Amino acid sequence: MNYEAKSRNTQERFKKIMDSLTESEKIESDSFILMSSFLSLIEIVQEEKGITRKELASLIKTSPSYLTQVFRGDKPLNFITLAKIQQALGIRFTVGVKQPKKESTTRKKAKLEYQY
Amino acid sequence: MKRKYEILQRSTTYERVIGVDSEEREEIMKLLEGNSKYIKKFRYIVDKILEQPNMYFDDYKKIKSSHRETITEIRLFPNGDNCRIYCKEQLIDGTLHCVILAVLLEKKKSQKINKVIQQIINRIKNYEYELRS
Repeated sequence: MNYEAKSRNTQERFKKIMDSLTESEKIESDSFILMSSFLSLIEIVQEEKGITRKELASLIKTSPSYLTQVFRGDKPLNFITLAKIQQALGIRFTVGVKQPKKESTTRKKAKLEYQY
Repeated sequence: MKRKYEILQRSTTYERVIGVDSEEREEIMKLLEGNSKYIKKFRYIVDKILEQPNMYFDDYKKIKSSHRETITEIRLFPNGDNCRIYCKEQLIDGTLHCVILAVLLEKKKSQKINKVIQQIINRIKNYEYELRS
């Protein structure tokens, strides 16, 4: 088997494993991945503004351990918490849509505008 | 001697790929196969590494970084498990290749783990990779 075939084989096997979740597990997993787009932008703003996770937790009146679980993808981020973070950091999220060529689902990516 | 690796997934957004050491491929596949809690966590981490602007976070951290090499750790800790996957990042032709190269599965957090991790780092720090051909 040549390199391209071996490599394709490995990639296909990996994709098969990643897609082996049940439909409801996949939806749950996708929801955390979607959440990650917001969290990544929040982390960037935190770094720019020098705000630690503990300080952010204090600003939105929640516990640092809850935020840690959210940032690790272990707990869902609800929109109430997202709105509190938006207000605390003085930012505004806007939402865009990217349609992957081969995938059937549409992944939405968060964009960001600053309100200083 | 250079070690071989194979690409698992490419970023659709950045010049980044995730690969796996050819000798460790079966171990990582077997770890994930049929284990939905690991798969869910791994999907999250893979998306973070490949598609997000800031790829490092609590569960994907640099543990050793110099101008020559970066060794990173993926943490799969769902339900109290203590599985760590060690990777090496290499920049090849402007693309960041994150190569998975070792799996450490401990059922409980242990004092011995730091010693074991150091042994893994010592073993892998001199690995150099080329795509399997």
